[in-house]
Amino acid sequence: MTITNIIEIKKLKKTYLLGKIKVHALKGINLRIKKGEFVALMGPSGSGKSTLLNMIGMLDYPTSGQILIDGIDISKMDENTRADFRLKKIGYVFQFFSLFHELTALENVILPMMIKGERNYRHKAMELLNSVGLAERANHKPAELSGGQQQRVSIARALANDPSMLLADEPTANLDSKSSEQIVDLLKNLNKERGLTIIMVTHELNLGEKADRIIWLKDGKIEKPLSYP
Amino acid sequence: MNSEFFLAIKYLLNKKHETIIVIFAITIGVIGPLFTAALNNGMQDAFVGNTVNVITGHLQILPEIGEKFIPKSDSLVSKLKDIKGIKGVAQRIQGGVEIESKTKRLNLGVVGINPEEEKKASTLSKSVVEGEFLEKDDEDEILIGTSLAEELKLEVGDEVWLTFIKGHPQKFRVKGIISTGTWNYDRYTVFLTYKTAKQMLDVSDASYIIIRLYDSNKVDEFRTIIEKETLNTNIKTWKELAAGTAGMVKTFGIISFLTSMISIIVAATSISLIIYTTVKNKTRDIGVLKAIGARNSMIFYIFLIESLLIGVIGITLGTIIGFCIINWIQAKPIIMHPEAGMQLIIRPWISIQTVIITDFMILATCIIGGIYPAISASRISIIKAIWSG
Repeated sequence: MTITNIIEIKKLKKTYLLGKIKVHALKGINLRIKKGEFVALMGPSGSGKSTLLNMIGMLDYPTSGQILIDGIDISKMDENTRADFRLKKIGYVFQFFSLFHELTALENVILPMMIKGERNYRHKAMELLNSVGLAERANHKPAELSGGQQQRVSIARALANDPSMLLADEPTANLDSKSSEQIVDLLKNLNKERGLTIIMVTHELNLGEKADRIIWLKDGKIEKPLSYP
Repeated sequence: MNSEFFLAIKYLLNKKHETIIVIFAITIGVIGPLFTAALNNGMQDAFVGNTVNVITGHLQILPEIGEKFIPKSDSLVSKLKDIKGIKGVAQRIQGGVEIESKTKRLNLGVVGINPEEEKKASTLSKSVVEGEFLEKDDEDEILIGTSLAEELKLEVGDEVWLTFIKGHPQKFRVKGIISTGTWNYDRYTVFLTYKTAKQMLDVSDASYIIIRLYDSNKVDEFRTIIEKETLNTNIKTWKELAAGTAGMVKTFGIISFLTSMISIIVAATSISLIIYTTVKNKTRDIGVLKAIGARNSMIFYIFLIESLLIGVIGITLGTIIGFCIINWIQAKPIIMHPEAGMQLIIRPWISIQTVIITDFMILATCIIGGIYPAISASRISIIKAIWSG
C-alpha cells in the first residue's frame, strides 16, 4: 500500500443471517481510496453500498477480509479501540440526519468534542456552524430547522474532531433536489478546501457525478471500478 | 462538563413529567422507612423507656433463688449508694390487695415505695398528674394510676377500702394520681409508702431494689461491680427485665420496616422502568452516539447517571421532608390512649446513622434499578440501533 491510500480493502466479505438464510452482502471486495479523494458509492438497492460504508466506518464487523485505514488493520480491533478510532478519524453523516433532538444545533456539534475530552469546544463549534452557513441558527433545536439545515448541522458535527475521512450514507435521500445539490456542493467544498477524504453513498447519478470517482456495486461486488482521475 | 452527565441531564429535562413522577415515588420511598424507623424509636422510648423509668430501673436486685425478700436491704442500699455512677437506689415491697371504691371492687398489685429514694431512682414522682406524690410518713394515703382512677371513678381526696391478705379492710385516701405510660402501674397497681406496705403485707424486708445509673448503657459493667461489692447474684438488667416489651416493639418495627421496603421496591421499579423506556425511545440516538465514537461504557454511564440523578434528588427531598415530618410530630407528639385514662406519648426520633443507612440502601436500590437498562443500552448493536424507529 502506498502512503497516498487512506483506505485499502482486501477480499472483504460480509454475510448476514436472515433467520436460517445466509445473505452474502459483500462478496470479496478489493478497493483502494486515496487520501483526499471524493468517492461516490452507487448501485441498486441491496447491492451492498451501505454495508461497505458501514465496514469502512467500523460500524460493523466483516465476515472475512481486511480493511486498512492509514495502514492500520481495523478488522481485528477491539470494541473500545474501534470507538476511539471512529471518534478521532471518522466523521459520519446519516441519511436521517440523526441529530439529538434534546440538543441545540450548537450542542449537537459540541457533543463529539465533549466525548473526545476537548475543553474549548464552543468557539470551534461556532466556526463549524459558520462554515456550513448556520451560525445564526446555533441555538435552535433540530425540530426548528429544515431538512437541509439539519443535514448541514450533521455535517458540522461530523467535522467536529477533524476526521481524516467523512462517510455519508445517502445524505440527500430525505432532501429536495435544491437542498440535495447544496449538501453535495458543501461536501465537494470540504473535500477541496480541507483535503478531506469523502465517501458518499447515493442513488442519484447527478450527485454522484460531482465526486472524483464513482464506484458501482452490484450483488455485493464492484462492477465498474473506474480508474483514478 | 462531562459528556455522560451532559446527556443524562438533557434526557431527564426532556421528559420532565415522567422524571418528576419518579422523583416523587423515590421521595415517598425515602419518607416511608425514615418515618417508620423514627416512629419505632418513639415507641421503644414510650414502651421500654417508661417501663425502665418507673418499673424496672436500670438494674434490679432480686431475692436469691428460693427467697421472698432481700435480707438487710437497708445496709445493702447504703452500700449501693456509695458506688460511683449510681444515681439512685430504692427498695420496694410488692404484694396483692383488694381495692373497693363506691362503684367497684378489684384485685390489684400493691407496691410499697420510699418516696424520697424514688425521686432519684425512678421518675415516679414526676408522673403525678393530679394531687401530690407520697411522703415518707404518709400512713393512710395511696397513689393510683390514671386508668385505675377512671375505672374506679376516683378523684384526689376520695376514700377507698384496701384489704390485704392478712387483715381487715382499711380506709385510705387517694393522695395523687399518676400517669406513667405503663399498663402495669397506670391500671393495675396501688402505691403506698414502704413503711405502710411493710406493715400491711406483714413482710420483713424489701421484695426488690431498683437502681438507676447515670449512664443506662453501662448496665453490664455495673452488674459486675454490684455483684462484687454486695455478693448478690440475682441482679437483672433493664434489657432482661423489659425484654418482652422491647421484643414486641422490635417485632412491630421489623414488620413496619419490611412494609416500607415495598415503597423502596416500587421506587426502584419506577426508576428501572423510566430508564428502560428512555433506552427504548433513544435506541437510534444510542446508535448514533456509538457511531460518532462513544464507547459502550459511556452509554452505560449516561443511563446510570440518569438513575443516580433521579435517586439523589428523590433521596434528598425525601430526607428533608422526612426530617420535617419527624420534627413536626416531635413538637406535637402522638398521644395514644390504649386504656381509658392511660396516656402514652410517642415522640418519633431518628439517628443520623439510621438516615445514612436508609439513604444509602435506597441509593443502592436506585443504582440496581438503573443497571439493567443501562447495560441493555450499552450492548445495543450500532447498525440495528441506527436503523431502528
